[in-house]
Amino acid sequence: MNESISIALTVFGVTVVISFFVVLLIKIIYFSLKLFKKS
Amino acid sequence: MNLNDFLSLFQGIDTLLDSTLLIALGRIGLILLGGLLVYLGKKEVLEPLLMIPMGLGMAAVNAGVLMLDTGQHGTLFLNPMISDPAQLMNILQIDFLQPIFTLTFSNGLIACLVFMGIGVLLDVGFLLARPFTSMFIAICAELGTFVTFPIAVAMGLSFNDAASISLVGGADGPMVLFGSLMLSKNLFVPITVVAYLYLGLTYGGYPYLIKLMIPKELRGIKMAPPKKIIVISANEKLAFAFITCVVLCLLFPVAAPLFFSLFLGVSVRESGIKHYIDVISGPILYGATFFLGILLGVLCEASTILSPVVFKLLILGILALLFSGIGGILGGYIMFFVTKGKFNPVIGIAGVSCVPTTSKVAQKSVSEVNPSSIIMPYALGANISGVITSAIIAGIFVTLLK
Repeated sequence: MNESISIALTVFGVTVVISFFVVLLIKIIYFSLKLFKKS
Repeated sequence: MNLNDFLSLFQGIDTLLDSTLLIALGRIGLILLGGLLVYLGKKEVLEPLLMIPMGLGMAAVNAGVLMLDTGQHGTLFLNPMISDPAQLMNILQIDFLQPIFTLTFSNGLIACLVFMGIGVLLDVGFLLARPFTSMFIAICAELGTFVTFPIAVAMGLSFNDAASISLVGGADGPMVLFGSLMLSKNLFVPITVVAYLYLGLTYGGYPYLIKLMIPKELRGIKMAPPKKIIVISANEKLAFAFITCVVLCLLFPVAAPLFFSLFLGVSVRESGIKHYIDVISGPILYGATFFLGILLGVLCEASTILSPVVFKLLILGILALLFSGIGGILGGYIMFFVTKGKFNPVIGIAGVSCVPTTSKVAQKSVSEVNPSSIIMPYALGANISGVITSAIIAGIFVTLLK
């Protein structure tokens, strides 16, 4: 049972990190293309 | 001619009388359930695209049981339990749906084709316009997945089976099919059937959850217009699809077919290749959905599906969807408080990634109270993020447990 909770928490933690990494990626793409258009 | 000889003319009835009481009652119950699914599909209470072929398949396979040459009961539809290559080659030439099952279902191809079709229909611009809000709500709406996993283990399921049934919390049919194929080969049939049955219910059940958790005055909140209108170009969407696909494939190679299929659909859409868009969003998506429905129905043969664990799966599936709905609405409430009352909490339900059903449910619930409140763009952003987070979670579970 404890192991299952720790697996669930691990999955949750990794999901949060990857999701916010995706958000960061979106911001990077957005600003890179903006800079590219300006140049 | 005695009665036995006479009955052997009608083998469906003969095998029914020859079965154990549990199997016989199971067959009759599943024939009736098949009829109910067809009826509810026709009435559009459940998704007709899936329920009509699934219901008829379920009824036909349980009616059409015959005595095989080996002396056992079986059907001429398919046999999902065969893994021996020699037996498989033999059965491929006998059971008419076996080639489709073996070559598209049991390797996850059909799930990937459906996912590709979903990708073509998704406009990731809604996510790119509000990435943080959309992703935050989508993570909250995965509460069911995280909570159901330990509950399933506590109910006696193995880690792999528990992970497969908890993926129902993501409310994404192809994802559950793919995840359960990878994680629990023995239970993927009942898990996928439970998932698709319940996903059909989200349209009917979630409006009540919204009414229960969100008072009328909050449901009618009008979203403030954005300070500046963000225009997302097709190039940005294509760049996002390409980079995110590569990064996610790098992180979770076991779920790479899913990521590839989804982002291939998105890339085709954003590249504007009309012929591909027409093929993927038409024949491929609807063809795959049609055969998925038939196979899900035909796999519900009483002797395959009836086991005590199915009752646990039925309870866990509904818990997963319930907790995900609650989690999504709580996420909506958090955004409501963070924005000091400017965010409509109903959008939270759209984090449950049943595209586009939950977005439609959210908009309908809001329109009933305030017809001038348009939340669809926000809801679709959360909805698309939900698909991506569900794929990420499936990838993590498969990587951790396979």
